[in-house]
Amino acid sequence: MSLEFSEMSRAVRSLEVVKESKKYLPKFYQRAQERKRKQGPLAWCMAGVPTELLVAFDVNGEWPENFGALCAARLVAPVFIGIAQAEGYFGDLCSYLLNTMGYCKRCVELGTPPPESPLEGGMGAPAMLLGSGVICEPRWKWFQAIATRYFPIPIFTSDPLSPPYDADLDDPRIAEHYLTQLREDLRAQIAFLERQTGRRLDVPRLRKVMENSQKALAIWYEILELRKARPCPMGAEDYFTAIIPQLYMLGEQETVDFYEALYKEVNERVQKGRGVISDEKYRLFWSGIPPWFNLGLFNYLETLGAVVVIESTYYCGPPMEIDLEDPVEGLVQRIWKRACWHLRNGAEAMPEVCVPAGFGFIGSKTILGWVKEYHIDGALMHRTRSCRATSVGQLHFRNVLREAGVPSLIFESDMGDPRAWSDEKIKAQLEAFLEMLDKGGLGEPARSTCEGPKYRVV
Amino acid sequence: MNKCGESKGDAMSKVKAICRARDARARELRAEGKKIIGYLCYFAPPEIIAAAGMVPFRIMGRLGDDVVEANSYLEPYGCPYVRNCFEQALKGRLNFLDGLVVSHSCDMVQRIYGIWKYYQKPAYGYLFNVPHQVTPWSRQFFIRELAFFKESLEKYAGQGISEERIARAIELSNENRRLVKELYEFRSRRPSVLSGPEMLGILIAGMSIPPDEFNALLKELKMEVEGRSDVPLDRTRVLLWGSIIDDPRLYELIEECGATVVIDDTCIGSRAYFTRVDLSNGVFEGLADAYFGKFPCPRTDRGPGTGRFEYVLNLAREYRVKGVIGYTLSFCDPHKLDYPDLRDYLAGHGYPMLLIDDDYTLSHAETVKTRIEAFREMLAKGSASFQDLAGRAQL
Amino acid sequence: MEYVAGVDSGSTTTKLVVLRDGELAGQYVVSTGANSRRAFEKAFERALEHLKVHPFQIKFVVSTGYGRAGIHLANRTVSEITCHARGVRWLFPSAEVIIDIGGQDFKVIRLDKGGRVVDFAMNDKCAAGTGRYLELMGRVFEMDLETFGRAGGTGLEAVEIANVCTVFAETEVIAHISRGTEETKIIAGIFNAVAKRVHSLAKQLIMEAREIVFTGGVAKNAGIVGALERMLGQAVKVPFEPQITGALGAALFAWEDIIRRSQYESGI
Repeated sequence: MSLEFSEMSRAVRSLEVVKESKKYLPKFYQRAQERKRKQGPLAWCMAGVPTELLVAFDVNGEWPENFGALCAARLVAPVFIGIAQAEGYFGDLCSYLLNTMGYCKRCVELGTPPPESPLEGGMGAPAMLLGSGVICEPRWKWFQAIATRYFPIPIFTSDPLSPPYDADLDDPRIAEHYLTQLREDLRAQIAFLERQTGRRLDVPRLRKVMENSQKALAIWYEILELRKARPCPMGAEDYFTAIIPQLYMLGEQETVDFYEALYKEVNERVQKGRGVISDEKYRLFWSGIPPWFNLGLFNYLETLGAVVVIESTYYCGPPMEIDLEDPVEGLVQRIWKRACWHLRNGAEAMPEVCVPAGFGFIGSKTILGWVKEYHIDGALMHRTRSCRATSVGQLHFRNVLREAGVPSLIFESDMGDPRAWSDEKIKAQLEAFLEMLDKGGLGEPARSTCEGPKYRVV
Repeated sequence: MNKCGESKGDAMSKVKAICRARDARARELRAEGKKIIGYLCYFAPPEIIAAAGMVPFRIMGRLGDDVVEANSYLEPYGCPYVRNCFEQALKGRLNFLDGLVVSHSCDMVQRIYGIWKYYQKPAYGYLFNVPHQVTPWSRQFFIRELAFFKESLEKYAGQGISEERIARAIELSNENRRLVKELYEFRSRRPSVLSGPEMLGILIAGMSIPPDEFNALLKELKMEVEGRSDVPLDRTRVLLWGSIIDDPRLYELIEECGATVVIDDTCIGSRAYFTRVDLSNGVFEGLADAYFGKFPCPRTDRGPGTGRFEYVLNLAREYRVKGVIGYTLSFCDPHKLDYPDLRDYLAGHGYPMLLIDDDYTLSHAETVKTRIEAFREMLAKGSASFQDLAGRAQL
Repeated sequence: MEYVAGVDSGSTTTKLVVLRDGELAGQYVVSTGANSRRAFEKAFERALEHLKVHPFQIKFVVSTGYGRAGIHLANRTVSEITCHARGVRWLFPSAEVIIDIGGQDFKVIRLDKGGRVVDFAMNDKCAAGTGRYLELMGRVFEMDLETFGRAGGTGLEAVEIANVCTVFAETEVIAHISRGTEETKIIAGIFNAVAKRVHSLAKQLIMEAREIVFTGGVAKNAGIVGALERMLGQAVKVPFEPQITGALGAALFAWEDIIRRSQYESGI
């Protein structure tokens, strides 16, 4: 399929603040230039590494997962994926990973970041690798492979083990069992960073940084709560851009400023009764990593009257009260408290709960709660064929939602390999799904060709 | 399907019978009032289950069985072995199990615990959590987890489990290991007399019956195979590396192609049987060392670099193989992410590697055989340029 | 007399159904070939000729299927899922499950008591189990599709075709032929393979359904019908013209639109 002709490749954001993200978040969007300017050590990180530590240690971060999404959006990913496959990495592995391995191979071949890389200077020259075993295991095997095969640099992989969904959280010994692991693991990570940077951890700095991240998470959560309004003031095309500071810049002042500005705009819309679209027919719940190269999918849905009002992907959860006297312990407590919240809300299918970076999976009970709170008509789930971590469990959610009378559509594609997408096939399923949701009778047709398709043009 | 190799004597036909109906003994014991605890993966020590007076039973799939029921609960993109095992449960074939113990070995196995428990509602269930990194504190975590596991079994069994009983169970399993290792060494010396498929059949049987019965069977087998006469056999010796292989069909295919598996690095293989539990520092330390510290599964992080593959090289040398055949299941991240580095490391030390990727059905048997045959021919000729074969392992 | 039309523009065939005052007036099937628009025009011309009507007498056209967006005369598009549901329900008022096997894909649709679609599943990742698969296999035996459909015998004696992939399955079939296996058994095995693929997808949606309707061009193959029934463990119903249910549904939507408009105009 000619991806160049996908109708959905360009997303049009709805909120002004989101449209201006690059202005609000230069540290992320201009990080390539920032790196050259700052000259400090560069760490390649997995999402899941607490960005607060990076900020406190003043370490530049680069995220191969995000790079994978970028390469997919620029249609460069298939090139790198092909190179990785030639190396012996199988096609059924995570497409972000394949993208990175191919990129690394090119770096080694050329001696410089490859020219086809979408970021200027590619992902830079890493001085260290910060892996994370949370969410899925390719994420630590990946860096293990990079350090073995391409860049033999210092590597630390954190291992915040998650309790099983049926753990007895009321037993203080169980809590202590997991908290000990979390603490030791975090301390080791800090010790690693101290060795690599040659500096001790600046505790007051970390405290301030944690205060920032707490504040940012609290505001962001309020924004997500505002989406319960009818019509919904914010859709997924905005969410998946507004999520960037939560994922990569938690702890920075910029993140707080961004979310404060965003809150103002979203709140104003709610006060005025203004939604993403005026004729809101279907309110949808979204699960899975989005097709980063085709975020225009959400605009397409909006032309059919459908708005994604809440996503489980990266959901930050309600803010957890923590004591920042000892900010390291505070971070441990935040991880644990959020883990407990998730575990108590139906974590049977997605048990990875101990996530340091303010995001994670959602339990089945939470989703059922959302059905009422967000007035959900249907669930749209993206089965990313190379990411099992976010896909396994969706069938279970579908079963749970079906019991609650909410239909779901699970459609297949990928998050890092744009070749997995087919406009025709996916449109057919989406249209059929929305027709199914229609309360107007025996499948009221979803759109009229008389007026022609409506897309908001960039 | 005939699951085990040719047999001439009593002991081997016992093995065959067990393989044909793996649940038979467990059902008998259950009828006598014993509790049968099924387990997936090999981090939660079955010795503790045995010490609790219950019967550990390793859950395995059925090669080639259509996975249909599981499609309502479990995504098609995911370890086909786990899906197949769950399918057995959904079809009611595991209804003799009282409990389910799942080790957090890999992602998919960790996930199936919640889904299995939610839909099948076993009387007893435990997820045995295992850190990925091997560090002093993660080792302590493992030891604490052993204690919690023991406690949970005690609650279900309605009786305490003394360390002494665990020690005795370990002694039994160590005896298993010793006898199995002997059989491996015997097979290495005389591969014509004990074939690869037979060896796997023995191990599969061993994970289906209580350890003391396995000991008795192993002793019988030892005598029987020692009594067999050699036949002239010119098969190329190979090491089989891979994840879970619970059906001898792959071994049979390899033999049909003129090669023979004289040593393995697989789950139901040397990984489970070559590390003794050392009791000199106590039961928990011993179990932590054997099941966590030393258990060589790629799902455990032993750091970057190829040093972590040295033990494979040692096995290859010790068992005098000419090459390595790898077997990975679709979506198996731990093994697939080790593969390129392992392949290059082994090649660098003179051991070419062929990888077979499969979706747990071996439905491409003909193409697999072609590649194994070609590989064997190259090994026999001592051909150096075979990177093509290894690199194009994608099916 | 009011005429409306529904067109199902598929990748292999284009189907057109014309209703006169809400009753079936004509149904037409043409090969889509490389140009779906021209295939539609051809079918349309045939309809006009057969019914002896002028184009402007066709008051409303609804299009569905893969090429629905390209049907220039269509006033509206509706997904084929919804159209199949509508069409099948008109023919079988108690249908609960629809299994549709087309040229390149197959789908399973679940309806509630009121005939509304409550769930569906589509296989469009590969051609295994579709009309294309059978076409290929028919060519191996040098039989036309009709003959092929009856060449599987009772279906009770069959070889196992292990390979899912169409191309590899063909190789397997050829291997069987060269080994001298009875033709009937091989063909029965091919039909079983199709039924198995479909069953795998359909199983989740069937759940105690009493009436299952089988549509699509492949439903004209008696051997497949038998294999499917054996796989499902229950009988299935096949319309006389199983290919046109999608177009029929589309035409019914067109008719509803006419009714709604006239009601609106007369102030109902």
